[in-house]
Amino acid sequence: MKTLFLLALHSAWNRKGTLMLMVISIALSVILLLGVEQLRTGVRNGFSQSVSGTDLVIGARTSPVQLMLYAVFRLGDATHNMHWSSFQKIAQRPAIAFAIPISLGDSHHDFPVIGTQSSYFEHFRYGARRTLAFKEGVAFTGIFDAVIGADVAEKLHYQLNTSIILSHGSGEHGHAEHADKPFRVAGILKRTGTPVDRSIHVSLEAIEAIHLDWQGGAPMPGVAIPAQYVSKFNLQPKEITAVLIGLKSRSGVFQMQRYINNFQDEALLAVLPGIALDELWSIVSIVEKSLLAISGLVVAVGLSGLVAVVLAGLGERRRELAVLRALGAGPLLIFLLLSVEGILVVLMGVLLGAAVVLVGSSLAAPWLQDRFGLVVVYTGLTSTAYCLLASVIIGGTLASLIAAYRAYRISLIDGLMPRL
Amino acid sequence: MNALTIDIEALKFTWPGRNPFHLSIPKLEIASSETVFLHGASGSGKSTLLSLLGGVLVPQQGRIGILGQELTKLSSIKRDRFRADHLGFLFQQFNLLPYLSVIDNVLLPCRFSKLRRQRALQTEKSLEKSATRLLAELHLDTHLINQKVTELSVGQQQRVAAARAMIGHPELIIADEPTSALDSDRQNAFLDLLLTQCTESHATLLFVSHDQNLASRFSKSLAMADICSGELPKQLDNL
Repeated sequence: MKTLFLLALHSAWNRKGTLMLMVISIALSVILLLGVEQLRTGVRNGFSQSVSGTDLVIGARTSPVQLMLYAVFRLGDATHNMHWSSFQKIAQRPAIAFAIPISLGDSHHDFPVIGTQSSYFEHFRYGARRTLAFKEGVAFTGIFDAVIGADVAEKLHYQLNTSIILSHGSGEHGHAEHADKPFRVAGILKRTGTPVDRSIHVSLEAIEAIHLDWQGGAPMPGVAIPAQYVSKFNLQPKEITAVLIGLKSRSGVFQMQRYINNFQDEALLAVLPGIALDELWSIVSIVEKSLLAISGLVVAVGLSGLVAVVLAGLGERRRELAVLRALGAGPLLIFLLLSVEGILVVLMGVLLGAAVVLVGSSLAAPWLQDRFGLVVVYTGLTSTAYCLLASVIIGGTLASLIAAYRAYRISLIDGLMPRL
Repeated sequence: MNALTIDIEALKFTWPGRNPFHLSIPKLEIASSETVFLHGASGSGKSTLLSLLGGVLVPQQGRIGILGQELTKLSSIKRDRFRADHLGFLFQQFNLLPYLSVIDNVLLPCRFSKLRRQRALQTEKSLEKSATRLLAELHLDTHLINQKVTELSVGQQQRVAAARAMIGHPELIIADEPTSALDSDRQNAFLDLLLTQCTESHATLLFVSHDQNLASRFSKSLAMADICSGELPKQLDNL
């Protein structure tokens, strides 16, 4: 056995250039495979952790996916709102632990503005049931106070007490602005890696106040209510976009869902966030799966390259194999020699690839989180990643065995005289 | 113990497949310590015979005895072991593993065979000394022993190969045209060294060549055409 390893090592060292190229090509395919897997897991985790601790998401009747898109991800607009009275009715049910109203529709530099209540900062959960934490400042107290997410603060370089002006409508620029009623940044939230980072939170009353002198999506001509007088008006909202509710006991969730779906006053929809997120993810996951399939193909190409290189190299090694045979090496030893070499090359490639991915993702992790809110695990590999690595190693071993079997056949046929 | 080193009887060998080549040897006896010159044109079945003697090929009929051991009765693993223990091979060219040093090449048989390691250690304290002595006897500068074999001339390489074939005193040395890559002066010098070494270690030498001028140097001379019977080989065996 010692002889075998010694010969394999010396022989490999003699051909280190070719073998290094093989190691690198396998490492590259492993990097692609693992990289895709790491990103996929990061995206998936970030996605499913965007809301937690919320038992039902409620809005005007629409498709569950669309409700999730605007209520949780703050993407797109709601087609209908729900009445404030419905919210009050629901919030007063004895089974309800908390109810967070959400009112969407305004924006600030493409960041969505969320009208809500201070219960939002108390009860909203993300990730592993984590609460929102303030990096600076506090929740809104005055009418024109705003609490901004980490992305907003960073991208727009906002600090506490920065004055901001909200735009009417969401998305593109060019909308009318609520310039007469500037807001003050009262609090900045810590980064969560969820859509909260991109949100600007104000009170429901503030949303009401900035629209006092508006009608039909435009300022009413000739009417202007200065900011200092808004408190004289009734600022109770008439409509909100969605409600996040938590129940005292999770077992009542289906009963509550049924109650809301059959709500008497208006057509409402209650969605279990986990199920809707899965449904939403299944749309995205086709992309994710095809990415994984492509990287699987790259690995297959890498491994067949390995076989091709080893087989092509066998021609040159026929003399070496014949000499070993003459010295008393059996065909089995020749087979082992070639397999050991191939397997070592595959293992080195896999280790190199995995190391590059781990080091690379730990280096890129802050940037990924910063840029995309992607939380990439870099302290270890996911179980899927281990499975992928194992299958690369198994595939590589099989590929090496193919080459080794060919060498075995050659050494049987050649005997002591290489047929060149 | 049989005094015959090689004892072949009624051997018949056919390559598998459609290759029409046959080798048929009714009888071949080579006694211990003989130096035998075997002459044969290319395609006469020399290589096949050597592979049969090495136990790498197995005849369909007949028996091959080497040192009293019937090769045909051994399993392939035991034949490999037997070859490692008792036979030293020397080829025309490219005998050496390019990735090992001179001394490691010489010591290779001792890695494959415990018997040859023990024998090499009987005369010297260490394997290295044994190899160095052998190389010195083959007139190879001792300062070359740690060099890569690829840095050596062809003549030097052949002497390293001879040392490798002889280390640990195998009873049978089989040389397949070992001098054909050398010019005639070096051919003779190499042959001198080889014959001296074989005589000193009482090894039997089977020297195969197409160059009949060398025949006079050996104790016995045979021709493939004479030892083979029946139908002559119809095709090059190297196809």
